[in-house]
Amino acid sequence: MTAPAPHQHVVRGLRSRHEGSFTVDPWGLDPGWHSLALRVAALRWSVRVAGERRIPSSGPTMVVVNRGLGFTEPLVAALGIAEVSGRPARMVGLPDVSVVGSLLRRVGAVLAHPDEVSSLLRAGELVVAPLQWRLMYGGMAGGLDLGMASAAVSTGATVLPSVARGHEWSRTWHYTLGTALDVPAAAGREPAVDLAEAARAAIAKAL
Amino acid sequence: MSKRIFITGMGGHLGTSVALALDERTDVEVMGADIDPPRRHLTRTAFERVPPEDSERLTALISDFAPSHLIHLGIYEPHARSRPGDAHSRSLSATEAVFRAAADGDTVERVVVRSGIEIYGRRRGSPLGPDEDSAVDPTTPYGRTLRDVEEMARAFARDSGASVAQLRFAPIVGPHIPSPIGRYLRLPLVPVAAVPDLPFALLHIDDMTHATIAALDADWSGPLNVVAEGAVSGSQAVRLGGRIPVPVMGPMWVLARSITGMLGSPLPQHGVEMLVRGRTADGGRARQVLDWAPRFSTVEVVKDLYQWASVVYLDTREAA
Repeated sequence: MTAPAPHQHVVRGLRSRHEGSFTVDPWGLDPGWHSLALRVAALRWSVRVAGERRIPSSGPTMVVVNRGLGFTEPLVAALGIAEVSGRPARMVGLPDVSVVGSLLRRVGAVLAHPDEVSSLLRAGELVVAPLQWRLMYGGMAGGLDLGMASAAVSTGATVLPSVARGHEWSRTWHYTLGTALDVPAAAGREPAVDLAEAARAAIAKAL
Repeated sequence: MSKRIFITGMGGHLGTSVALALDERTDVEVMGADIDPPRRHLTRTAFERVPPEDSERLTALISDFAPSHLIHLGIYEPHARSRPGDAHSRSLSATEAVFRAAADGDTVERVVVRSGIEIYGRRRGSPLGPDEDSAVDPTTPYGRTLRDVEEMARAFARDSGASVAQLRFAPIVGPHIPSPIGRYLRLPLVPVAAVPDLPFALLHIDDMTHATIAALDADWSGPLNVVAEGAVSGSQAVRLGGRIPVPVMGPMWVLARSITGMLGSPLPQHGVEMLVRGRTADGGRARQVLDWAPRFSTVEVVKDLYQWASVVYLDTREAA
């Protein structure tokens, strides 16, 4: 069977919008918009992924990624993961403001709210949780928000530390996924603190 | 010993649907009350017409029946069957009567209370897909009514030791249900959010009925989100029904609500909030606790909303 020509793809997409037969998931992701966003992002960034076999094919997964000056690292992580695994990566850190927030939800962004991240993980989704801001790379990594760590612990998610390397203005980025961290079986603040520290340490070591 | 079940709000579609399902069962005795009579013929079920404001009469009626189980569906959504002001007072009055009777009688083992996912509110920064442990922070009058009802239910559960399940239903819409959202979505031109609108979940009345009956049998105290799988956005729902979406934003909603109100479809505040900010909830716990699964997805509920049987003219000459 041959793949549909680009114009057929466009016609099909427009028809689904007209008929309302497209899908939107309970967190606002629209696969059509997501796919379009990936294509546009691929024009800007070329991501070379290492350790892609560590991404589970299904089930609750939290990928923790370093973060420098802007949003590039989590974007690169989400793009790289989607390209190599086919799983939509939900980028955590959406600003809940009109228009921008709604648009970003369509392409897979979600609030950095523990309840929202927990509900995604319970539904078996993959989320990309960036560490807190750090202006410099040299072996320094910000912490993982405790709410995110709690969400991972309470849902028993697979937690993968990862590092995105590149310059803000460069096209090619290198993205490496590390081995899964041990997620404490017991829920609560202490296990979440331990997991957040383990994620930060693993990423700091890799930087 | 057979269950003695009292249903408040039996005259509405939800109450009638639950009563109809229980009417077939021979192991239960059912009685109900509401402002209007049930919408279907019930053979084994007793009914008394009591306005919800008459809480003393409702209390007496429940006490005389001495139920072992109570299904409290007498929660009135603004612009469904009641004006917004009446909806709040009727809901609270009926709830007070129910729990007063339950506390006086000492026969009630289990209570199932209608609530809704509007109780979570959709303030900026609040999550989509909250579960039952998420904070309750209602942002609309209907949400606040539900919060007050749940507070009374929790107080009763605490004082009596009875199990009280609070079923937080997603908006229930269907072709003949007097739901303000359903009525609104069936307009020929439907105002929707101009920016990409956020998703919302709905619930089919059959799934609501099965979940309510499952909650009667489950030993569960606390809230449960009862929602269909999946979600739709407002503009998508409108297109699924072949209607024309009219993009609206900001203060234009005031005008849009006035116009749709004049056309016979007033949209309550929680309806606008749902269309603009979305409203979904995590229903995993209800599926586990009640051993229940929704048969209709949210998209199927929307499609069902637009199903209208065509008029079939009877040809009496042929029959003769």
